[in-house]
Amino acid sequence: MECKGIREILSAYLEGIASLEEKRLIEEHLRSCQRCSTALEDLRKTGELLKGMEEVEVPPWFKQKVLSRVRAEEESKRSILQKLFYPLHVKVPIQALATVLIVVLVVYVFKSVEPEMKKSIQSPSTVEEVTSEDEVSKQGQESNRPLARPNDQTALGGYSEEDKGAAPLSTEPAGGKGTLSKAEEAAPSKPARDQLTQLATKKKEAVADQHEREVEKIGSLTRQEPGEFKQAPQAVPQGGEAVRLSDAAQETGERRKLAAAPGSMEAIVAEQRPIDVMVHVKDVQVAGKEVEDLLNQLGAQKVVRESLEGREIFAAELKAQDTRELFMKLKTIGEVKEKELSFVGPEGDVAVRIEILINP
Amino acid sequence: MSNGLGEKKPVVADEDYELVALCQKGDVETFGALVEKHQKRMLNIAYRMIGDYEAACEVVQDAFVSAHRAIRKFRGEAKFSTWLSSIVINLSKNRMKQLRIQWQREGLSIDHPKETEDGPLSNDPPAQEPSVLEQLEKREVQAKVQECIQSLDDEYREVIVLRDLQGFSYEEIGVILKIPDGTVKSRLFRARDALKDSLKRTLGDL
Repeated sequence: MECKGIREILSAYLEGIASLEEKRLIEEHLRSCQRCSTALEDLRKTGELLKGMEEVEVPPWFKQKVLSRVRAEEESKRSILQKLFYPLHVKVPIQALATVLIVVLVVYVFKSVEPEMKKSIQSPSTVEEVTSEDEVSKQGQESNRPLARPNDQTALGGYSEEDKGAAPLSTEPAGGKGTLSKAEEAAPSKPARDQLTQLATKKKEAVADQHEREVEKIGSLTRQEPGEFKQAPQAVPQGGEAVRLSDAAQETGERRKLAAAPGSMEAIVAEQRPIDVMVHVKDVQVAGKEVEDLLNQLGAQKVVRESLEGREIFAAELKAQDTRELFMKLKTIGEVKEKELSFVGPEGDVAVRIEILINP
Repeated sequence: MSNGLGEKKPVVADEDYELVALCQKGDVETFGALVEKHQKRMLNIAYRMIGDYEAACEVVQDAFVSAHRAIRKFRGEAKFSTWLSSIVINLSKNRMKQLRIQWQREGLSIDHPKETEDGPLSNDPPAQEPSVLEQLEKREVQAKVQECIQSLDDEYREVIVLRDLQGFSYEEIGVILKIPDGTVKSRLFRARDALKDSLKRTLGDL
């Protein structure tokens, strides 16, 4: 064996882990090779030198230093956990999450309610709601919704052939309204929102139309009246009507008769224009308070008060039999002038409008 | 010599298992016991690897902190001491790289690290040597040996430190360095040969 091969196993030989065969080869080689013998001797001395290396001691503070670092790390880890899960720190992520959820919910609710809101901005009266509900439900069950008819007619301003077309007892679907209803029936899967938007648009037109007619009818009514007041009185007869009437077809008939000549009491109340009263007083503020009390006393519904420059305006809904008492009381407050002479029936609700002015 | 060149400490069976299990439950005091038990050996590994006492102390601290951080992931596939040693070896090698760059910048030789002359070795127990002269001589020799160890390549130095200075078994060294047993042996034999040559150059006649 050559020196190179022997050198490679000398270390194993020194450690005593060389095989018997290796051992024999080395010993045989060493006898004849001085250089390899020296190498073995140097290797042995190297081992001894390494063995003689003293160990260094650990500084006395070492363990405490390590443990304090470990504790500090544990502490910071815990505080991270606290930040995530404990009440005082947890607020940030949880509140953020809650806020986001609320915002999403609000947006969702707003989106789904938006069409209705548009309508109520157009007209805050209850009748509109009833009408829209009827409109919506009508899409599904047109034939057995007689109540919907009169309101639809009123809202859409259609007293003519169009009503016949849409009415449950109708014989021929004529006019725009009728066609529309049929179209809606034909496509029941159409998204509800589309329908609502459509209805909202129709309603807008209808309300505008109605206002025009109303203004024409009233004629003498002050033009500067706030929108709210224009609408509120309309709502009254319509709302009452919606509740009381049971048969749409009959009502439609009655209504048409009325257009020619007023007949039954119900119809009169339904067509009742608001009672418009002007009261001249010395002190508008005091009188306003008195009128308000008076209306409350008489159990008036839907009392709306509006203060304008130098005058107070009340709109309310009152039982017909209470109107006489109202007039009596108003006379004690100030000088009463009825702008619009109205026929007041013995029963039903009547819209009342009271304007309080300074004595001229 | 039949048991190896430098078997100073017998390798214990993993009696640390229970202590480690307690540490995994978050017992810091128990970890203190493990630190106390292994700190000297780990510091000597780092010191012989790096040759700088202060740096070795820092490295071993870091190693213990890292070990504690990762102790929940320790599954006992190796002995705790073996696992800890591999952390120390890795951190020491990283520190060596940093120090080499630093020494190069400061114009110092890698073979002449700052503190080997008289710094850390003053921590050694002084009572063994009879005369001051002999003590000085011995210390000088040790410093030279340390220089020679440090002049070796990383892969030679680590096997010399683990086997001849710390007495780990070939199997353990294989686990610590993640190399096969055969590689450990051949690398160690070449490392000893290289160290022998280096010592001969430094000390003259051995």
